[in-house]
Amino acid sequence: MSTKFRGSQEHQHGSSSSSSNTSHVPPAQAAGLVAILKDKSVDELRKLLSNKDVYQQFLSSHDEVKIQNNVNDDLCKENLQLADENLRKEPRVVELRNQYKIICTTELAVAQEKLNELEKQKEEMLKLNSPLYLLQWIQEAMNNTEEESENLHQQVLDREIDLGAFLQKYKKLRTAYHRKSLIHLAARTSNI
Amino acid sequence: MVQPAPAMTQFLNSVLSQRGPSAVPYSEDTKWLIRQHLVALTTAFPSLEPKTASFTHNDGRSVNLLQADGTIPMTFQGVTYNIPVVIWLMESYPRHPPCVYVNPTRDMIIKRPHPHVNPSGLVSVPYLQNWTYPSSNLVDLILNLSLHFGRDPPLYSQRRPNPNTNPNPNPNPNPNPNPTPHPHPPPNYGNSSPSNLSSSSSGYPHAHAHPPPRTYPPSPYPAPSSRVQSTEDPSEVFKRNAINKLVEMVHGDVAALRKTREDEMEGLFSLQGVLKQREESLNRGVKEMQQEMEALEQQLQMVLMNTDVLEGWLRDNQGKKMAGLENPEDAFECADVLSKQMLDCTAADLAIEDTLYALDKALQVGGVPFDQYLRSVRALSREQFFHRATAAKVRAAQLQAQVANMAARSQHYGC
Repeated sequence: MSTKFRGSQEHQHGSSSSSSNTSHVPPAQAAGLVAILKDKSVDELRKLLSNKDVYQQFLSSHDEVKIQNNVNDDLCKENLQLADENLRKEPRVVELRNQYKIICTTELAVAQEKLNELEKQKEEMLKLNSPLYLLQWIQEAMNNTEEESENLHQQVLDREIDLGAFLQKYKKLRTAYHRKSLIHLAARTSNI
Repeated sequence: MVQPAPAMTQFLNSVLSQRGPSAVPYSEDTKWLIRQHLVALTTAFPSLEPKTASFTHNDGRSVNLLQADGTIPMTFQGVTYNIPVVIWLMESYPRHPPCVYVNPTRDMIIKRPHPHVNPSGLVSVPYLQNWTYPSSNLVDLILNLSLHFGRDPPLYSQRRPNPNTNPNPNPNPNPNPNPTPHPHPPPNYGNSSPSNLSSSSSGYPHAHAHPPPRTYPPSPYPAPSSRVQSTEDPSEVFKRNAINKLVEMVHGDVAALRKTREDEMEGLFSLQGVLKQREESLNRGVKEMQQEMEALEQQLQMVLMNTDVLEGWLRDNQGKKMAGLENPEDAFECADVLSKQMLDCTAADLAIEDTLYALDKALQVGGVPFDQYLRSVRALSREQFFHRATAAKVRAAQLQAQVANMAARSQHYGC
């Protein structure tokens, strides 16, 4: 009679305990853990409960913990790799900057200066040979010839020169003058 | 174990040897086997206790039978529980199987539906259905029940975990009920009996009659059983509690660890994002610098090439300039020979005109004698005539050339 009473109460305890487990811990996890712990002896269980290191070791061996640690480690490794690659780009950047500076300050500057000098010479040369310049040149020549003619005429009036010589020389000068004048007129009216 | 054997054996011998109205209704040739079964049962499962009790059949007959009352150990999810049961040895036992009832306490409920236990608590398992005389026995039956109950427990508690603390002190008071068995049997037995079982008034006096002469002998019997159970229970209880605590600890720690790891992972993912952005930025920067370098190289090459071209041009034209024009009008050429002739004649004509004007001026001033004047005028006029005549011819030639050109164009238009 008393034995039955005791047994009943024990069963009640077990049943409640099981129910309690189910409500707090996921069934799959609990079942897995119980399967592992059931094989351990009382001393081993007591050691797990009292010794922190042993418990931590047991916890680390748990599959779920291993998975989390592995994922974490993988991500750390990947981040380190990215950082390393980024750092390895610095020498490349420095090198490019130096090359850029060298080319800018030496080779290109010198070449540009030389080119500018040549451009200047070219402009001067073209200026001397331009149509406008030629027209001005002809005009100037005409003026010179005109002046020379006037001087010669003055000389004959002052009886400083023989008439025959005067006529020859004067005719030549006037021919040159008129030739220049006609060319100048033609040049200005043309579509050069 | 040695101690309970004599007491229990004496009890069984006494019961089985009785005659008259209180005798148990088993055939004489099977009583020895019944005794063997019960002795083996109590040896293997001390938690089960043989007793005599009155059993009332459905037709109303009451009969005094042997029964084993107590608990069956069962393991469920690594934890050991005890299922309270009553095993009735019917009149036809052991040729026919006993009747087994699950005997729930106030705090327990029979699970329904259950494949092996009906709502009244009657147990039905293949071992009972396939009962074979004389090989089937009570020990194997209990082992079989333990397995079935372990797979699918027939009882569960309707109370909270708090009552669990009660079972622990209960083993200690076990000896107490024994000295005073009289007041306990009626209320507990009546409360826990299934619908098919009932305690009649005749059964009660019988039970009352037995205790006085056997008060002393049963006393040593429960004590060893309790002690054995007590020795086993602390270890099992501790193991069960330890496992429960460890499961909860591991679960809690794993959850905390997961939370920590998730935070770390979040931080690491953010860091990874930043690193990737920097990588893109660096790559873009390097590419831009390379492109700028290439553009610079191209510009340099262009400048050098232009320099070479200009040097060549200057070299060529420098020579031209040095050989340069003595007269500016030489830079212009007439379109054709006729034009050139026309130019020369016109210039000469105009020049002579100017010369004649100059002579007139000189004559007026008295710079030249009259005779020289006349002679010069004649000569100049003659020369001028020639130039004008030539000019007239050239103009006619030009006109003719122009007409021919127009005719050619017109002919082309006609085609």
